[in-house]
Amino acid sequence: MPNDKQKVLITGGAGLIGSIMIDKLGEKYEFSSLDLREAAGIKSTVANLDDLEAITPAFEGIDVIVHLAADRSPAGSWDSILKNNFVATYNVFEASKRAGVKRVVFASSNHAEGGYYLDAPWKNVMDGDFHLLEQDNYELVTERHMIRPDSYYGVAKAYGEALGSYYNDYHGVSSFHLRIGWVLEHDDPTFSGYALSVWLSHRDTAQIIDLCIDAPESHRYDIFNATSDNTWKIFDIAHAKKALGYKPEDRAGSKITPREYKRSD
Amino acid sequence: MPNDKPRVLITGGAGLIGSLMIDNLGDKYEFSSLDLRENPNVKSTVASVDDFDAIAPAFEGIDTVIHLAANPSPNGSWESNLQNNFIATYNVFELSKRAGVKRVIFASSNHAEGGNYLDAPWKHVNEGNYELLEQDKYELVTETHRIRPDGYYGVAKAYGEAMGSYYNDYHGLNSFHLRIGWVIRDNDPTVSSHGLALWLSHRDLVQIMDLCISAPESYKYDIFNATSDNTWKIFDIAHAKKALGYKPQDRAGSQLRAD
Repeated sequence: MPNDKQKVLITGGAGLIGSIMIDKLGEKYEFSSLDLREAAGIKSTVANLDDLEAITPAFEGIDVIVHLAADRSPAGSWDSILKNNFVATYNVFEASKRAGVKRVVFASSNHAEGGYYLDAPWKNVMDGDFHLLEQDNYELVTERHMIRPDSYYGVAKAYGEALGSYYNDYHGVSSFHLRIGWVLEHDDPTFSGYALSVWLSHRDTAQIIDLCIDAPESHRYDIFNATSDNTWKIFDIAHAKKALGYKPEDRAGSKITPREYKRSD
Repeated sequence: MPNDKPRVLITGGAGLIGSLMIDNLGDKYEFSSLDLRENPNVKSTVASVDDFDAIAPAFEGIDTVIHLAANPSPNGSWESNLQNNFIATYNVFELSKRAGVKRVIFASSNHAEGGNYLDAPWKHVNEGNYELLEQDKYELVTETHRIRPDGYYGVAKAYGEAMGSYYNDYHGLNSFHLRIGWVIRDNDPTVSSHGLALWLSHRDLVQIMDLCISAPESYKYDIFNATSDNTWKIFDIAHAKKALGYKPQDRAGSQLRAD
């Protein structure tokens, strides 16, 4: 019996989000990985995304790309972001076009809109000053707000969304852009107001990426805020619920136990 | 008597838009130019904007930077855009920050939204099929429409707007972004229906640039569609009229020239 699972290439497949996807969706899709190191258990191409020729073979025969690889630091320098986020993202869209990939799911970020954290009411949420707010009764940042990045990293995410629009309109590569909140290694957002607000739990991560991969081909281009259904939100997730059928299963509360968050890798 | 005119550096100061500004606003501002060639009428730095160290001195003592220099082709290659539009625009913002420049005025472009030309009603305007439309009764593309570029050039313009927002919020460098329609060398938009819709006449260009340079410092960041008051529009210019006081003096009609 031929394997008719969709072939999905994950750039950054060896990282946290890639690992969550492989763990939770590995039965449904035929995953491969393109990363600086091998992803355990799946076909892996080890190459740097800033090298178009080196990465091109990984795109052959692929239906959908999930583009996660980047300098993931919101404080990344211009030189690093230029190479690993700007150039790499061009390479992913261009290689996808050349290989006839149907869709790119781009890991955009809340940092494309992080400038809003400077202003109330979002600053209050960010700082955990929930007493200054009335729950469910303040404005949320939607996908229609003006682009307002908080870093070169955020600028590069906004750029990726714009590049995706161009490749959809002029080269037939559909793309979805997830403004991901914060996916935490230990899946526990209780350490700061910011984490409580932008948390995207592991299972909600898997669900919303699954919905993006699986959405009908007629759905060509879109941008979605992607967090769990947290009590104190900054970002409105109504659009993902309505247009994708996203039903978040997790909800961060209000209680903060301040401590440092550090990734192990 | 000391010269107290604001000092304005124009990147691309030897090009069409730069020359129009220098010719028409030279009494009001002390212009200098940064371009690949000299503008014989003003102090000029001849260097490529992608060369950070070479262009740095041109920013010293400047109040406002008008960033026009770019590969101007809407169909420019990725490699050329990366160098001349992406990296160059970073250089301009970063050097402006370091030199204490107050404001950058970025020549953004209608091409940041040119993907909208694929769809009605804007497709009809762009193609001159006015009989399919009722004048002043169709939706216009405003600055709040989602970004929809039609080339790497347009992507680079959207990127410049995002970069400006970041430098304003985090580095105190304010910026205005003009989504310029089409400034035509002979100032005659009857060359095509695209020209009729997008035309920004020479004097309207000078006016809106002047308004951006002289807007109060408390006005930190904005994006404006910038065309003349053309009969068949694609882009809404209401925001520039209201927020900047822009009063366009020219209006393209419906007729194309014979040739």
